[in-house]
Amino acid sequence: MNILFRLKRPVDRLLETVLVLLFFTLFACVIIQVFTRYVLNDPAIFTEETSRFAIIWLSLLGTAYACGRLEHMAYTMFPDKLSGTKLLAHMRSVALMVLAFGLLVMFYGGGKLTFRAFDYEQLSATLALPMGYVYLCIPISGLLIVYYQLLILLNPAQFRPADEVEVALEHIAEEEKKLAAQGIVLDSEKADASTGRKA
Amino acid sequence: MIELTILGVVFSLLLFYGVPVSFCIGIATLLALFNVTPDLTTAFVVSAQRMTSSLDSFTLVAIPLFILAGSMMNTGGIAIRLIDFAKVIVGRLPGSLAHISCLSNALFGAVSGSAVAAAAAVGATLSPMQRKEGYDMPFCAAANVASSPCGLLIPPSGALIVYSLISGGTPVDVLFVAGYVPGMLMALSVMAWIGWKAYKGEMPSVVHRYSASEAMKITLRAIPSLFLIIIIMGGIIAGVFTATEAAGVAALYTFILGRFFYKSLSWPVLVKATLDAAVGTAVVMLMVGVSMTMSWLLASTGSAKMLADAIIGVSDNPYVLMFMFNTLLLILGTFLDITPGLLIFTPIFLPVAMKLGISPVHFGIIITFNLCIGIATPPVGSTLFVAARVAKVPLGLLTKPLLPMFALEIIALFLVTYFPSLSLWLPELVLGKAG
Repeated sequence: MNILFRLKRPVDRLLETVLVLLFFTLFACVIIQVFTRYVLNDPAIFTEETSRFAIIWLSLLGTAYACGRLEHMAYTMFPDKLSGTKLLAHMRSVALMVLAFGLLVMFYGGGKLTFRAFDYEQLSATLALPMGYVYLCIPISGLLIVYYQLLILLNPAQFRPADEVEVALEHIAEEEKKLAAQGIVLDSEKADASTGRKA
Repeated sequence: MIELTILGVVFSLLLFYGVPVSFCIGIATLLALFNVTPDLTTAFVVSAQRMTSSLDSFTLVAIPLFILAGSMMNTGGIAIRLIDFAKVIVGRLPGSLAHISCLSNALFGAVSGSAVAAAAAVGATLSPMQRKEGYDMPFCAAANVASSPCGLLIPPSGALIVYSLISGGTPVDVLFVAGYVPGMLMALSVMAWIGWKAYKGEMPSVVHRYSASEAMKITLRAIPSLFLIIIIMGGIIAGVFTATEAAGVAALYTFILGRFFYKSLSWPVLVKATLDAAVGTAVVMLMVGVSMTMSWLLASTGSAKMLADAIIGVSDNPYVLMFMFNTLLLILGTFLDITPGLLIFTPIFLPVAMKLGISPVHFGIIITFNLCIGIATPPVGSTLFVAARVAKVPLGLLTKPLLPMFALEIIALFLVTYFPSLSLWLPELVLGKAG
């Protein structure tokens, strides 16, 4: 079981890298589309389909990654009332449901869909890319979801739900720190300094 | 009808148990599908396929790009410059710091589309000053909470893009332009209440005046950030860009601004912003995918039509029905964030609205406005929690000052509902179409 936990870091890093790369692909496609249309007057044809496929991969792999960090929005009034072993049991039960969905719909259903698409040699409209490659992200994502949920089932105490407020505050603190480092003192900061607030 | 019951019961149970919303929808839809498909395997495959193919849309590509632009703005020095600019404009009004937070939220909404990020940035920057000048902190935090969702109506808005998709392709450009006036109305209804309190002398009288040269300096500093509005909306209105391309250009512009002019975007920060945006995108996209599956199931089994007929059977007076719809949604909206709210209620209520002769654009603005009020109320009030945290005010103290603001916003909601021209006049004027 230890091997599963030791894999978490590499799996996280790999997913992060792939997600950032997919994002840049998406971004580049849209920019290339605008550039080729207005500057070169010769719109590229591959950009629209590529960006659509990139967003499917990004969404599904990101879904798995977000599952590993408990970032999917949930209504937490009931679990907020629990603590200790009861909370851990609650986390396990939720993980089990997510695992079932990942396994049955995404891994099994998505896997079947992928095989079917390869078998029928379904091709995409402009790039003539086998659609199987597009659907392939579903079972991969399903497998990753199963993996992350297994980790939660085994040791739920290790996982803490993402806190939107914490993240937003972190951003602001970072920004202020950076501005201060550059010696830029904005009007709002001058006032803050006089109240003795730490940036 | 069985499908509808399964969907409703399973979804509500899982939601209140604390299962992530996307999985609530996915699991409920799957169980309802079992009733329709010949065997289990088909249900699994259909679920997976519907979920994925509904993400295959160029319009949706705008969402990650707007999120990325917003995420770079958070760390790119744009927020603080916009807040300073708001000070120049409304600083001279009595109760200025509270007005400033409303206007900053609106400006923030016009360059990005996250109510939570807006509430956090505005609250964190202005709270210390408000405290120093002796403002009633719960009141200020409440003004921040109540005005922050206006950014979800003022374009660019991820919520309106999601609505465009789930409503079956309502044009995003029309929705965007239609959101301006109602969005402003939301901010103005909060400002009206602040103005009233100031008129009664219940606000500190310290005002912020700037000399012409100071005002000019701050404005010049904000212009590169404000120019985003022109790029995004100018591009869309002039027909130069689609919404997706505008999002791409906005992200590129924000990147250049943050990296080379404000010099606040280092590569590691950029990678982190991208990763944040990727996760944010995935969370929304999964929800879109499973909701589109649900919407397809409702439509293909005839459940949506049955429900629409049942609702119209209650009354065929559009005014009465829209009143009931808004009231119901205001209640349900307190439990749901904006994206799931749009994704769940649009497929159910849009057919009814269209039968009543309400255009999809107008309906989109009504439902978004309504749900915007909901995200500022407990139990699921993301902006409420953020604003209370950054202002360092206990959550409970916010209720009392929030009530009159909500009352005014609800009045604004009914104005938007019963006067379609509030939403449709501007797109007709600048785009020559309203649907």
